[in-house]
Amino acid sequence: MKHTVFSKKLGAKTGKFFNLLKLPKRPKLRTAWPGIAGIVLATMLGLPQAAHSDEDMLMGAGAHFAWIVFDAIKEDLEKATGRKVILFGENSMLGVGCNAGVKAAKQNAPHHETFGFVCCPLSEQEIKENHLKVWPLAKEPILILVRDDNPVNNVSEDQVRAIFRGDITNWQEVGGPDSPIVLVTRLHCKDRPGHWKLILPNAKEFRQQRLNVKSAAAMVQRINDFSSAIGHTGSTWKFKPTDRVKALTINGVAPTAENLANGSYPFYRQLSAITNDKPSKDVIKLIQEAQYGASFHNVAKQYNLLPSNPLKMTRSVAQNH
Amino acid sequence: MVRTYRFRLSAYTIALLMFLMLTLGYTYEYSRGVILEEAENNITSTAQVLNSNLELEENELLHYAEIVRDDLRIKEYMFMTAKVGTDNEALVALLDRQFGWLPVERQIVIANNGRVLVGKEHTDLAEHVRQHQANAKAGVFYFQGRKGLEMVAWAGVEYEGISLGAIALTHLLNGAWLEQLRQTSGGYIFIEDNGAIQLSTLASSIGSEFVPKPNGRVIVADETYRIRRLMLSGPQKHAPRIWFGASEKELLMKLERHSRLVLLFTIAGCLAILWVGLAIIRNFNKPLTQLMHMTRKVASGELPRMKKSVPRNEIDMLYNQFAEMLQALREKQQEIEIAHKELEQTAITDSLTRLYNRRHLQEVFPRVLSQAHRESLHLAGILLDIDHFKQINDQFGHLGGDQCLIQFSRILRDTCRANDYIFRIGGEEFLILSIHDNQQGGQQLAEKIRDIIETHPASLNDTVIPMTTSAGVSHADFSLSAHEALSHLLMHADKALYAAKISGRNQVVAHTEDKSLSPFTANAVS
Repeated sequence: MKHTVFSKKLGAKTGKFFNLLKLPKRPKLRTAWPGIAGIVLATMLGLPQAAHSDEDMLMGAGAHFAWIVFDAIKEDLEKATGRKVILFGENSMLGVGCNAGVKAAKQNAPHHETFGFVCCPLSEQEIKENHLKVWPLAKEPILILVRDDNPVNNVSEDQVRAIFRGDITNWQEVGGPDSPIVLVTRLHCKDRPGHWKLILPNAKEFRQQRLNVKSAAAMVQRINDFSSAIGHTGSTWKFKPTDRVKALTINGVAPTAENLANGSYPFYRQLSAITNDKPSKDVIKLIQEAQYGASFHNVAKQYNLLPSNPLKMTRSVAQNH
Repeated sequence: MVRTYRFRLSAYTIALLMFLMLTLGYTYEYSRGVILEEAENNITSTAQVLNSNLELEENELLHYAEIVRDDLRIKEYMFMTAKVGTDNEALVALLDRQFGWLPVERQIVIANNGRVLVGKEHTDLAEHVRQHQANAKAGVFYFQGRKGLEMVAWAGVEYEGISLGAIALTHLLNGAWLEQLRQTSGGYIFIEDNGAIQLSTLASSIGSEFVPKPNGRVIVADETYRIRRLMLSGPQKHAPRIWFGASEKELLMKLERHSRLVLLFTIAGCLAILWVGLAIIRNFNKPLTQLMHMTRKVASGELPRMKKSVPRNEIDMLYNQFAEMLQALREKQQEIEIAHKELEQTAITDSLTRLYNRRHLQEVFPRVLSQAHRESLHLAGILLDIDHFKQINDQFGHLGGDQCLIQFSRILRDTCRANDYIFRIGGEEFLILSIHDNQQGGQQLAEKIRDIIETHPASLNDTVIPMTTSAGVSHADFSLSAHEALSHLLMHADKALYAAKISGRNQVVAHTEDKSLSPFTANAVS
C-alpha cells in the first residue's frame, strides 16, 4: 500500500509510465525515449513500485542481448508460468545492462518476483557477495564488425588482437586498402570475466587511439560511419536493413553456434539468467523454460547462439523433431 | 530730438516684430538642438542595443561552435580523422547529421596542423581560423569573405587531453541580416570597408564614399548622418566596419515640417502686428498730426478752420473739441478786431464829423508823401476854414455851429476822391491831402469844394444857415523829410488861407514858390 500511495504522488507523468507497465502487452512506441525514461525511472526508484501494482507479474531486466531472447519467447514463458512477464532491457544504453540484471535479481521477493539477465559471466565473488544464482542460457559469438564496403572479409585471430592492440593500424597490413583503421570498442562490464576479454584481457592493452562507445547501437553506428572501422558486438542484435556492417570471419571461421561448439571461433560470451538465492517457483519455471524450451532454442538458432542446456524433449518438441 | 507718436509706434511695432522673430528663431534653434541632442542620445543607446544584439549573436554563434565542439562523437570522429588519419567521410556525415540544422553560413573543421578536415572548399575561412587558432581556445572574429562580411565563431577541440584543432561556424552579415538589424533599430546600417560603403540598408548608398568625421558624422550622397560604430569582437585591422547611422534630414524632417507651419504663423503674426500698427498709426496719428498742425498755426497766430467729423472715438472727440475751441477763438478774435478797429477809428477820427483828426495826419502823411514821390505826382495840402464861424455860433448857437461842421464834413467826403485824406485839424479848420498829376489839381479841388459849400448851406430846425469857406493850397516838398515836409505844407497852406481870409474870404489862395500868394477864384481860374 505504501508504494501505491507513493506512486500516486508521482503525478500524472510518472503515473502514465506505471500505467504502461501494467499493460499486458505494451504498445509499440513511436520513439524509444519514453521507454528509456521508464526504464531509468524504474531503475532509480526500484522495480517494486511498478511490480507491486500487479502481483501476477514476473519482471525481468538486464542486458539487451538477453532481452532479445527473453522477449522472443515471452509467450511461452507466460504460458509456462501462468504469469504475466514484463521485461526491461530492450534498449541498449548506459544504465541498462548487466548491472540492471544483477539489481533486478537481488530485488526478488515474495509477491515481487524478479529476475535478471546478463550478457557476460559473473565472477564468483560477485555471485557470492550478492547471493546470486546464475542460470546459464547460451554462448553468444562476438562478431568482429567492419563496414560492408571494406574489402577485407577475413582476418586471423592474431590480426584481430593486433588490430585491437594497435599493432596493426592500416588495413593494408591485413590485405585491405591503404586506409588507417578506426578501432571502435565497447569495453563494458570491466569487472566481469569473458566477453571482450577474450580478445584482449585488459582494457589497457587496447589501442589508445580508438573510439569507445557505450552501447551496441553506438557501435553499429560507428561502423556505419567509418569505412575503415572495426569493432565488436554480440551476435544477438537486430541489425537494420540500412546498416552497412558485416562480420569478419576469424581464421576463416564464421561466428556461428556450430563454430562455437567446435571451438573454432575464438570470441564469444556467456548469456545467463540470474536470480537471488531464493527464486520463486514461477521464476525458476520461467528460467528453466528459457534454458530448455524449444522456443529459446529456435531463437538461439536465429542469432547463432549456442544454448548452454539441451532441449527438453517435451511431446510437442518431439513431434516437431 | 523729438520722438513722434508715429516714430514710437513704428519703433514699438518693429521691436515687437523683432521680438516675435527672435522668439521664434530661438524656439526653432532650441527645438532643433533638443531634437538633435535627443537623437544623439537615442543613436548612442540604439548603437548600444545593437552592440548588445551583436554580442548576443556572437555569443549564440560561439555557443553553437561550443555545442559542436563538446559533442563527444565529433571529438572522436575528429580524432580519427586528424590523428588516426582516416578520410573525412564519417566526420562530414556526422557533422551534417548532427549539426546540419544549425543556422550558419559555413562550417569548417580544421586540424592543428592546418589541414582542413571539413569544408576544404572554404580556404579563405580556413586561413583566418588558422591565424586565430594559435592565440586562443575559442573566440569570435570577423572577416571579409567571398559573399561579404562574415561573423566567425570558432572553438578549439580537445579529445582526451589532446588538442585536435578547431571548429568554426560563420554567419553571413548580408542584406537580410542588415535589414533585420535595421528593423530592430530603425535608422541605417552601413558596412564600410576602406572608406567605401560595401553594404547598407540604404541601397542607394552602396559604393558611396564613407569617411567618418571626428564629430561622429558622415556625409553619404550629400546627406549628413550621425553615426556610431558597432564594436565587433576580435581584431578589426583588416575587417570591414559596421556603422549605425541616422539621417539628420529625417531627424529634422518633422521639425522642418512644423517650422514651415510656424513660419506661416510668424508671417501671419507679423502681418497682423503690422496691420495693427498701421491701424493705430492711421487712427491715432492722422488726427494727432492734424491737431499738431493746427496747434502750430494757432501758435503762429492763425485760427484755421477745422471740419468737424462724426465722433467715433476719443481722438475724434478731441479733434472736434479742438475745432470748437478754434471756432470760439476765431469769434473772440473777430470781436477783438472790431473793438480794436473801433478804438483805432476813435483814436484817429473826430467824433462829430467822423473825419481823421490831427494825430492821424502825423501817421498818414509819411506814407502819402512817399506814395506821391514814388509815383512822381504832386501832393497838395488844402487847408479849409469856415468863414465867420464864430458869428454862426453866436447866431445859431453851438448846435447851429455843429450842424455847419457836419454839413461841411459831408460835402468834403462827397466831393473828395476815395484816395484823398480829409482831416479836421482845428475847430473849424480842415485839411485835405490830395495827390494829383499836375500842380493845379489841388487848387481845382479846393475851388470845387468852396463852390459847393457856398451853394449848400447847413440847416437847423428848418433854419438855413448859409456858410462859405476860405482855402489855402500848398504842395509838399519831396526834398524834405516827412516831418519837415508836413510842417512846411501846413505852414504854407496856413499862409495861403490867411491870404484868402484877408482878401475877403470865400476864396481859394494857392501858395507859390516865389513867396507870393495867388488868389484862386473860380472866375480867375476860368
